[in-house]
Amino acid sequence: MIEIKNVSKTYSKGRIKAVKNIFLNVEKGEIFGFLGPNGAGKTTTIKMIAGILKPDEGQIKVNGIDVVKDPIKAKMQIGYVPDNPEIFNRLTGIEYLNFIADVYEVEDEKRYKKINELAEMFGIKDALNSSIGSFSHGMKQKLIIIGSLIHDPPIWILDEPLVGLDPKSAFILKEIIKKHAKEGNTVFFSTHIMEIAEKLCDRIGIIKKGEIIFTGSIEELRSLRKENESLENLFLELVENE
Amino acid sequence: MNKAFSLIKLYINSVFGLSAILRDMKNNKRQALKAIGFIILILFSFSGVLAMFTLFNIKMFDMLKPTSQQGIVVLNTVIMASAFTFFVGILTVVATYFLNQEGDIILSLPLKSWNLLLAKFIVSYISELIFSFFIMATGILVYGIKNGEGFLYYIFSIIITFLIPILPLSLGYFLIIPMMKFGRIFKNKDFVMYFSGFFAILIGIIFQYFSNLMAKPDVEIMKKITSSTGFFDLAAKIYYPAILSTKALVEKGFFIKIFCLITFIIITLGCFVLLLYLMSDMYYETLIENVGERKRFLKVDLKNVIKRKNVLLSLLSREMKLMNREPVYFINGPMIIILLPVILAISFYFQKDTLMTQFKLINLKAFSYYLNLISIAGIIFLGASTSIASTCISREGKSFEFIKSLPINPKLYVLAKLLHSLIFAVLASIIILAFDIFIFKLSLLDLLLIFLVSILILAVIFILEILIELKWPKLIWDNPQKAIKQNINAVVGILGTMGFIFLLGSLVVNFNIRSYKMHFILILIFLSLLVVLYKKIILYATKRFYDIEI
Ligand SMILES: Nc1ncnc2c1ncn2[C@@H]1O[C@H](COP(=O)(O)OP(=O)(O)O)[C@@H](O)[C@H]1O
Ligand SMILES: [Mg+2]
Repeated sequence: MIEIKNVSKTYSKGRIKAVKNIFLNVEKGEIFGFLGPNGAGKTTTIKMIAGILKPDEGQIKVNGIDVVKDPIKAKMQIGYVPDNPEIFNRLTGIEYLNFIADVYEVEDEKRYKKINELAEMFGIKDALNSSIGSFSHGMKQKLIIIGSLIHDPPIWILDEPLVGLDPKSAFILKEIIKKHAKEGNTVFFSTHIMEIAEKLCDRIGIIKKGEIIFTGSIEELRSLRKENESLENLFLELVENE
Repeated sequence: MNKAFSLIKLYINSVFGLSAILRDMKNNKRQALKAIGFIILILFSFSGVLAMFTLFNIKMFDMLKPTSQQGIVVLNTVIMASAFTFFVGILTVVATYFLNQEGDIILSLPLKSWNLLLAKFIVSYISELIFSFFIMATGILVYGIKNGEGFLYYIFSIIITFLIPILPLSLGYFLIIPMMKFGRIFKNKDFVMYFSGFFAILIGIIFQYFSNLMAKPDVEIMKKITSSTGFFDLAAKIYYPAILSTKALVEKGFFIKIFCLITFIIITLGCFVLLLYLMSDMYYETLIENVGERKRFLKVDLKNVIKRKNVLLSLLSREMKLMNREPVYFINGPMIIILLPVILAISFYFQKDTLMTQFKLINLKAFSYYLNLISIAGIIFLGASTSIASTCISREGKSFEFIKSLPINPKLYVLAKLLHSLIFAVLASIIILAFDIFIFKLSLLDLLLIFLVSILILAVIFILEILIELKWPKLIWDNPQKAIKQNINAVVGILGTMGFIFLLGSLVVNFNIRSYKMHFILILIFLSLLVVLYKKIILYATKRFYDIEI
């Protein structure tokens, strides 16, 4: 469960208002799509949930734990996939996964099972003993996805996870997302493409220029956009992004 | 041609970061000031060497004047500048051979192969020019002023100064490009980094050696190197263009001057054009091959490599791997511990006899006491020169955001960094202590005191350095060089440590301290400092870790 209450964030000493007083609630077992054009504030919001950025005001709780007040406990609940997979290029894939699993305090047996299963699915098992620097962009993304699932996070947050994945891997990831939610976990991911959200999400939130302009199911969006012109325009913009 | 120019601009920006400084001037004054301060700091550290050069040239002029041979001063600087550009040139050629942007993007642009080589050449040329300009200035000005030269001399000097780096640099490319093409090992980027690192240090040693020679201009040595079979004569025979450019400056007749200058220009530009004409295609091929090469993967049995570690150890091992495997970090960090003692040992070996006779003059007790202090200073210097603590947050770069997303206890995070630097400090102490044991045969008490005092002091220095890094981390960079070589925190760390050693040394000398009481006082002071600062850093890190935002 993710609760975002009246959260704002500015950059450059307050000059750039990236997120403005947003409220969001995402329930357990739900796949929530966070939709918006480039620069809308998706990454900023996600980084605040993941504890990377501190909100200027407001409060964020994951499974009831305040991210700012109790960061370590909160982050134990979260698996996070950043929008850019360029990290730790000098480690090997397996060293990276071991490190992540150590930090989340995952037992050998469990980490072996996870790594083996997911690496097999994504087809990067043979590459795990090589340095991340020699991986392609997509392989790095897959590695980070595996790392983010290693502790079976009750809350899984992904920032534009489908960008840069080949169709087969994108399909696999969508299946994993569905399975993870079905097991009672919360999945929160961002995208700037309407179609992905339509196919995958139980509920979506649309953000534009730092403000949430819609939350609800796809059906609710369909009925509402007929009446609301700016929503319709945004909808078209997001569809065109495809 | 236009395309070549934009490429040159791109390269220059990526190597020198000029546009970043200019942009900062407008938007971020503090950042710009920092960068400019940094440049001044570098110039400042160079100024000592330049002063030495100048002094040497003045002495040489005075000595040669009676025999009307003072033109050798100019020859000297020309050869120095050429040799310098040749050796340092090879280094910059190798180090900048594969720039980041070179990836698939630039190769896919419709650029002719000579555009690429020209752009790369100009980047190296500019950095060589800066160095050779200063070297030339020391000799040209000394000769010009003391010999009362006129307007023409200075005009010619400027022309020649601008031309001087071209020829050695072209020769450098003539050497390196085939090596890149046919030498397999040069295709490994990491190897290239290590190679250029070693080469740079080698040049540093040679440079140091010459500077030492010049620091005390000895008439005997001067006579030797300026005699008709001496060093300059030999160098000039090998490198004839040096004679030409010297003649263009010091000859009396106008026509002979002009003739020499024009010949020099023709040789220089001829060689350059020849380089572009002959080597461009081969250069292009080496770039393409580099992009095309992907490593093959090594399979393993997952069961054997998946092992849980204690969180602190896991953090520590990540720290060490990331530092030691990144050549830029390794060369400018931990490698110094291995290299400096090797240099020390070599120079000791060569001066063994003179040193030993000097040692025998000092009485034994005082000798072991001073050696004790010198060892402490040595360990502190080595320990701090690894820059492990003073760049510990900056090295994370943008990955720091990812680190923050993990449930890492800031206390353990900082502790891992402190341990990392201490491990290498202990390594440094082992090397220095080995000298003390095997060569100087110090007593066990001495060894123990050396170890305790130096490690304690280093621990305090490291904590201060980590505090600075936490406060002002340099996390935004595209090239790891910027995290360590262009990081003010690292400079502050090393200079601060040297200042501290200097302070301690002058205390010992001024008050003629000869008692081991000082060791105990130091232990007491730094132990209590350590306790206080340790508490402080844990407290600070726990808060600050969450406040650092990129
Ligand atoms: N580090 C930063 N400094 C200044 N402005 C930023 C920074 N990161 C993002 N922004 C600005 O904040 C706004 C929201 O950005 P972001 O959250 O990345 O959007 P999205 O992920 O939806 O594309 C944009 O206007 C962007 O330019
Ligand atoms: Mg984004």
